[in-house]
Amino acid sequence: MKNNLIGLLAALILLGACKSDNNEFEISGEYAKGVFIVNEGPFQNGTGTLSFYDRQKKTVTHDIFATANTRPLGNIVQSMEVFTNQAYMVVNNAGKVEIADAGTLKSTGVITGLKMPRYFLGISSEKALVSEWGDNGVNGAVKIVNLNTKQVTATIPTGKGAERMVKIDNTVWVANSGGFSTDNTVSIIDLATEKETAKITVADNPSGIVHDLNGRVWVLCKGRKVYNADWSINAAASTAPALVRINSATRAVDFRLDFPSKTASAGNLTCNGNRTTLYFSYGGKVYAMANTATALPANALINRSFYGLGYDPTENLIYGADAGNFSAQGKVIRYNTSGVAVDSVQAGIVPNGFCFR
Amino acid sequence: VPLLPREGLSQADKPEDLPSSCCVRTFGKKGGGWRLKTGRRHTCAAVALLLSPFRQFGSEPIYGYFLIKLLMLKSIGFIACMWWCACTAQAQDTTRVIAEVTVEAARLKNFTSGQHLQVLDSNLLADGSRNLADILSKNTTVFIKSYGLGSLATPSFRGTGSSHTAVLWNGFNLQNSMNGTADLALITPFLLDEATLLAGASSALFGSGAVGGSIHLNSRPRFARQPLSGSVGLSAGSFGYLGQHGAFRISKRKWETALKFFRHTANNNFTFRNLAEYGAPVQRQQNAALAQWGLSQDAYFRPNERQLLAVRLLHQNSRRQISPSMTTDASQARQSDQATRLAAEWNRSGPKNEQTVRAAFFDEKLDYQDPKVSLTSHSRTKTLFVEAENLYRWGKLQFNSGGHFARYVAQSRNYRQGNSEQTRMAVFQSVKVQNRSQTVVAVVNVRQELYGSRLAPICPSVGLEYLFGRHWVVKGQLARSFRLPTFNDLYWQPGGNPTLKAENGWNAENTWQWQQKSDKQDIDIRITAYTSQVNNWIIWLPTGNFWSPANIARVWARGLESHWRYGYRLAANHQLAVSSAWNVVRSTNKNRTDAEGYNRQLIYTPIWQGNARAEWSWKNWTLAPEGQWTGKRFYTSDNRMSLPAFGIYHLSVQYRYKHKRYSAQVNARAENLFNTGYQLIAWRPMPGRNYSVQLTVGF
Repeated sequence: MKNNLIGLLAALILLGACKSDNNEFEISGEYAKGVFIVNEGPFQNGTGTLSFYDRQKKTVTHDIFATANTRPLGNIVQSMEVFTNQAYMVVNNAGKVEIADAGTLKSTGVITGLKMPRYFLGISSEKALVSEWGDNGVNGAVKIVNLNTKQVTATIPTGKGAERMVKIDNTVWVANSGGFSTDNTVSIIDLATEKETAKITVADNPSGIVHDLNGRVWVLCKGRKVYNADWSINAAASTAPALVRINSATRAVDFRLDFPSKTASAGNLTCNGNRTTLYFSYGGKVYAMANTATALPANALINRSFYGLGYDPTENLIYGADAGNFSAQGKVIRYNTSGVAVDSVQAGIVPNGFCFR
Repeated sequence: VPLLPREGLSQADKPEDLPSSCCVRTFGKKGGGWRLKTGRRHTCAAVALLLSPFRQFGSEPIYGYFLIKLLMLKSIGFIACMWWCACTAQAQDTTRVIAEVTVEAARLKNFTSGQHLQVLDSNLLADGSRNLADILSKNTTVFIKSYGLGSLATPSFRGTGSSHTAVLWNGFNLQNSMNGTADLALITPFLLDEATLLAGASSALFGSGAVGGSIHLNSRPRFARQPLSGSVGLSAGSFGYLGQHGAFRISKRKWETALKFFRHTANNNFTFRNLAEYGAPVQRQQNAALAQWGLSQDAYFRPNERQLLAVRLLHQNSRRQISPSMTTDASQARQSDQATRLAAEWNRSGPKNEQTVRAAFFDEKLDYQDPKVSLTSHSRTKTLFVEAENLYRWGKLQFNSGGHFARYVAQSRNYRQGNSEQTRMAVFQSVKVQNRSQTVVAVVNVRQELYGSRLAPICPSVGLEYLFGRHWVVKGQLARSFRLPTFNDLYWQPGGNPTLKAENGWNAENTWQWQQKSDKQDIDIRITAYTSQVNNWIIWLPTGNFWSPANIARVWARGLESHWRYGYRLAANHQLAVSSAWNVVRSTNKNRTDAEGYNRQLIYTPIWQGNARAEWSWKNWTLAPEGQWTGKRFYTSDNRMSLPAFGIYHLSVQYRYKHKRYSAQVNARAENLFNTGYQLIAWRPMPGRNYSVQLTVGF
């Protein structure tokens, strides 16, 4: 069973968010401004937690959801988004999205009936999308949720292991990461008809997707890892990770940049506030790349491996989540854009991502 | 009539002490001429009675299923043969005058001086509906980590880990060679005759795994005065629990055969408040059903006063659904476990020497399926044991010398081929010396084990016992202990580390005991201070792409354990007994490389825990309230997260009826009287108030 666990852990890599604030909703409370650290928690029996970093005081408060509600979030907190004035925590292994007031973290509801949900994307005050891996981790789909009734209203099958989503005009692009299997497509969903209208072939197992300032969609593909009997990677049968750029208007692939090693892992695609620089992990290091670049960067920005990566547009700092031994508290290390470590703070168990407010 | 001793050597030394609801005998039939016919009639009637519940309660044609399973075992011939022998032998013997052959478990009874032996009350074993985890959690200071009603349950003895308690069946270790643990929820002590707890390290006697303590499950012949005895029982309880159990024994001058079986099914669909969900809804436990059955067949042959041959079969079959935790979505996982264990033992005792040769073969299968994550896992282990020992008495000295051989084979898709076999060999030697009045006893034991081509740490132990005054016993031991890496630790792909060393530890303990016995009352108070250390403790750590085990942890456990008991006899048929046991333990991580966990309490190790029981017997009635208290348990290695302390209370009532050699007994039991919500493993709900009744008929 352990190998499966490891596979899942490796697959549960979160990508930092590039989102716009919704200013029409006022958020007040102790957690209105700051950085939420999403700690997915130990696998199987435990519960994930949220830690909150106060930028002014430079202090961390742990377990804020449990403190506000005297109950845990649930097993494997995959991601968190703040939309309107609500915080949405996607709890993967509990098949639910917990909803709380974004300022106080007081629970306001729950969306249930999801199968291995991954990410939340708010569309309007009534509508949101949740990507999910589905039954057996292969029947990937996007669920449409009515935010007033907190009920699922429609299921749109996409590809295997529906993962990160990005909204472009009246469409949503979904990276089909393969789940427990393999996929190599990005699905495009039309929000008006609530149907998948196109599928773009990229490289194997696309996990991260970013829409840059110039209208290009960058898709980071993990590649396919094939293992030998002794669990070493069979390089001949594997495919290398790749970064694919797509023209969002024509939906044509501009180019595909293959990483040199088939055995190294790539993930954690995120971008800076004005969407001009991409950040991602590859081979246990963090790289930065301008959105105008047409080749992969030669040198790493940070020589450290992270379980999750984020970019704080408020202070222009890169956040790296170090999950440590996966059973005790992890660490978050903050870097400036030159890759120099600024400081570090403690996280909860298995930090995997951030939500910047 | 003694006041139902709950523990102590006195009871173990009475070979005829039968569980009251298991076999009820009438004495005074010395030489009673039971004819072949009588025996057979009884057997047939009993079998018919036995099988009827299978048809009645089963959700499937259980009767056929039961028989097919038996045939598959190919053991029916064996069982039939044993019974045929016993029945035909019956005609010849009419008297039983041969003295008891009392040569068994020599190491456990003779060479553990300095340590505390707790023999579990035979009444506990007589209940076919209870598993070992349930019995230990309510009656001893062993902490049981249970994932829910009937789910995986592992012990923590004196603050050690789940694989640091050896569980031995008639001298053979039941700890799974793949994962190192014994699932106590799968062991039904009803199938055995005696369960003994040995606290503290005893690797010098019993080898790998006996670090925090060991549990000894033994069956033994009675060669009782009554040629045919037996019982059948039916039980029913909350959450769809239904159980049947039976025991039959034919006891002859030279032969004895005993068959026991149980079967139970349960839905375990109790309700609980899910504190992890929005609005804390009351939910019904889902995917928690189980169906289990097992049987034991023991046959003994005593050709003369000096020799005893025993052949034993133990088979258990379990199918369980794996319930979800409070923090996860619905579960579809299920697990099935099958274990067949066959053992033979030959013993010859002379005035000076006593030889024992024993051998066993285990075949265990485990299938686990979780459709939600497309996971199917099959594993199978086969083990062969051969052991020989000789006890030599020379004046006040006793020497026990022996050798042990075991061959382990494991099959799993997760192992590299050809790497899942291991041969273990060991030599052991014990010396015991005592003074003439037996008030001073000293033992020295040593064991050296070889696994594969590597030597386990040489394991010595020294024990001392001193009886003084009229009431005092003071004893202590200093012992080394070890635990070998499991097949998973060594060979799991990916991560398995074939270079792992054995864990090794030291244990020192000191016990003061005060006992007083009179016609009216008996008092037994014991307090033990202990300290133990485990070095090279194996833990799995992430190493890049996968997790891998390393000899990295060090744990220091120290604590105080106390037991006390008070019995008072108001009249011949009216007595009262109160008993209680407590354990306080600090078990801390001494691994400096683990900054977050250093000096913190081990997870799922309560700092304090205790239980108390009162038993009031009047005429045919017994009323017994029980309480069980457990302190705070941390469930993260940095001790930030913990489960709160809790206390739960139970009440049982028993009514016994006896007519000539027949008896009937009704037990009613209410557990968790105050409907307390608690968890033993974080976010694994445990049942609230629940009831069970049991009817047992003995003859």
